Amino acid sequence: MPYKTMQIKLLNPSKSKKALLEDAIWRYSTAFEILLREIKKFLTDTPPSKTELLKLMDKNFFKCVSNLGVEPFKDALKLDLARLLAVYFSKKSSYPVTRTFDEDIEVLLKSEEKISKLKLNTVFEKYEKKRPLLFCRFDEKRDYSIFKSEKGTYFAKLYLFNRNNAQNSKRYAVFPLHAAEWNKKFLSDMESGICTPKSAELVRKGDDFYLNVRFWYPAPLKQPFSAYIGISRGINSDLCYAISSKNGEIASKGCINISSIYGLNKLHSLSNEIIKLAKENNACIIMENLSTSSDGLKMKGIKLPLSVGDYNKTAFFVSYKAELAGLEVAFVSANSIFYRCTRCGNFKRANRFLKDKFICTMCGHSDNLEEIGSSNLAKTLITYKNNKIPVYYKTEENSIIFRLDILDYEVVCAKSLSAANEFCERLQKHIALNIGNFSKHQQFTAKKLLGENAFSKINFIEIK
Amino acid sequence: MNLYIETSWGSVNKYGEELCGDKVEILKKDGDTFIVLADGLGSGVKANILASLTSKIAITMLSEGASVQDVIETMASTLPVCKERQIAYSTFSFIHIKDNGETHLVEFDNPDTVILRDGKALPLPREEYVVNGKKIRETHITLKPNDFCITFSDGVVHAGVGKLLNLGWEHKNVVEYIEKSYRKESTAFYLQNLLLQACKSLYMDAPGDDTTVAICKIRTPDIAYVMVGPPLSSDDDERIVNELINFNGTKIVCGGTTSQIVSRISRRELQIMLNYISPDVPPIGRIEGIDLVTEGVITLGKCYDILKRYESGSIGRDNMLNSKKDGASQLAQMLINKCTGAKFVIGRAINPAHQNPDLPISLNLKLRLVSDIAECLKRLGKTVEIEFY
Repeated sequence: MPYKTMQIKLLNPSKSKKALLEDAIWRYSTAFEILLREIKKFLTDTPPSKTELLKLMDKNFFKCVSNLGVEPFKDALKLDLARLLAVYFSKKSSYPVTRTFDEDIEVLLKSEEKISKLKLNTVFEKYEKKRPLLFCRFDEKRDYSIFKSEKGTYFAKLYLFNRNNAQNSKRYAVFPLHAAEWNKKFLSDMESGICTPKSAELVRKGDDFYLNVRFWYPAPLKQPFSAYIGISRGINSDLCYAISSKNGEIASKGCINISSIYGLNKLHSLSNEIIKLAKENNACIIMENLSTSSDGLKMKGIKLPLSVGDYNKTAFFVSYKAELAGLEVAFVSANSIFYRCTRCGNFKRANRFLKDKFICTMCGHSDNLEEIGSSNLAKTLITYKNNKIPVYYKTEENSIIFRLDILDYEVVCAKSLSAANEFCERLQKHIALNIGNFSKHQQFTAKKLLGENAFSKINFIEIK
Repeated sequence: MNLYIETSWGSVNKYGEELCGDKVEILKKDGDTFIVLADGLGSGVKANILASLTSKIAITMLSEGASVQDVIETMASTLPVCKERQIAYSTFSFIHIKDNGETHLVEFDNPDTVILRDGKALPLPREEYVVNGKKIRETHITLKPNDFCITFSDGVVHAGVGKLLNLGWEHKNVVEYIEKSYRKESTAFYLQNLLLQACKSLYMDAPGDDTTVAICKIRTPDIAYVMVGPPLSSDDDERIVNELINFNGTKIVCGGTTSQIVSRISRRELQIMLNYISPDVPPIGRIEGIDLVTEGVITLGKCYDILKRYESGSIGRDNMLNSKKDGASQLAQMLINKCTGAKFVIGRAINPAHQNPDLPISLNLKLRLVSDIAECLKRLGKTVEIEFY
């Protein structure tokens, strides 16, 4: 689901309004940390399910923060806590701390144990640290909403108070917004129903306050593609690409380098370049899945311009930008892409010659190593498609038993030279009759086996 | 033990040149094998003439027992002098291998010859001396079965210079590549072709210099006895089957009826193997004591296709030769990788199964296929003999 985030500035709030916002953020941050510590008492080593978590965060759970007046943020606190806990359980690192108080410092200083530098830093860095105030839904009667005045000015309506501390018996405050051209584009999309506003965050930057609003855009229909573009990490450049036609011929190769900007902006620029290339060539984007396996590109003595983390972030940016652009993206295993010959398919570590060159020890094909990676990626889906399907068979005295595990199909044929052909015919009949009952995965195999050349798509393996 | 010396050489011309400036001469005489690789000064016609003269002079004189000094002197006085550089010059490497493995290497200004044993390059005890101002390096070494002797021109060492590699491939990297690509079953032709393909690729298909590789592989002789088709007279059946059974080498039977005859006379059971199913090639059989039993004409036809692809050095041929396990691939693998020669015994009887008008297989086709295979094997350096019954 493609989301876009828009940051919009609250237009010169008065001192009193600033104090209201500051107080709301303080209350939210304090309540969040107290609740985070409270819920820890009920957690075990196994991550709780969504229902278990909701059960834990019932009415009584919020009693400990009743004095902070966080009733308007109750749902947001629940959501925020659930998100943080999900990250904690997936990473299995130490329990998170978002904010520390005077008491924490006091306890630490009074402690007789040796204080580690890391712990000391954590406690002081997070002292009175403020968390962005989350509004979990766009609603005129709760959380937050944005509206436009007759004069064309945009306003944000933020529910910041409970009944007890309501201002002029109103639980919300209205703030004019500074809508720049870029903001207006989103807001007009919202007005015309092109996008839907979802959650928002109130943050303070220096003396100003901003609202980060997430908009959901429905994904456009994906266009049929006519090529593949493989994107791999480079050695001398940030990224390398290769564009292959649908029959596996490499049409063009190149590098993407962004050297003038750094950080996340650089990664966004890289992802934009990828999307641009894919659009120009009407190609399906194929990227490495570096979360599960390594691409083996790193070698002693060379510093790669793009780390694994940066590549993964770029891939994430590409995935949602491609969805917005109606392009297909596939993440494939990065294993062996820099060691497999693009001409003959030979895979050997010995194929890597020097730090950045490749010479195949089977057919002699040579190229720059970084270009080999992207070319292999561009061809991956074609290779998957052409992979033969294993059929196991056992020869008995008068018969041969064939078995196709994927379709859970077993058949006994008379022992003769045409047994394999007989199996193919019977298999095709079976597929034609049952194709509607197969799972998605089975259907992929079944479709591959229908048609004239079924025999050539099967790899017969004997069981002894 | 008399060893078999399998030789192979190949060249890639400098981009845009019609003639190669490197020349290889191979001479087999009284069980000895002589190889000269000469690299003429410059490129094109001039270099070709220099290299041709050098290789011819060197191989003729050295094979007749002349000394290295005599050869150098003859070359200096015979070779035409280059107008630009005012010198008569051509580098060369000379290899003399006796059938017991004793090897004599003479090198003049060519990149060092590599001897590969068990996948590792051997350090060679080279003696250096000067003849007529030219630095000659001489080596005496005894080669063992499965050793490779690899010599090449400087086009290999400079491959990729200014293109894919700044400083060219360099000798140490060439040796490393050869070591990495080593496989025990590799033939001289395979390694030669692989090295040339790598050079061509590094030069990005536009070689900056003439590039030549000459390789010999030391092998223990292994002749294949290939029985194709039943003899014309059934009286010969027993004699030929006995000859096959008692043959000292690899034994191959091609043909359904032929394998039944072998089974009947030798009283050994013929089993049809269905352990590799191929849509194109009929299954193989098994008779105890026979290395390979295949079907006849279709298998031979496919085998010839594989040999042709192997000979043409096209990419993917190796996969075709080694990765498949059907009858034709197994036959080709045996003839190329295992055997140093082949003796084809062709029966001229007409197969009654082939009288079917829907199956247009004639005896002629079988004979032509065998002679094509034989020619192909000869070109690959194998000794081939054909007998008809």
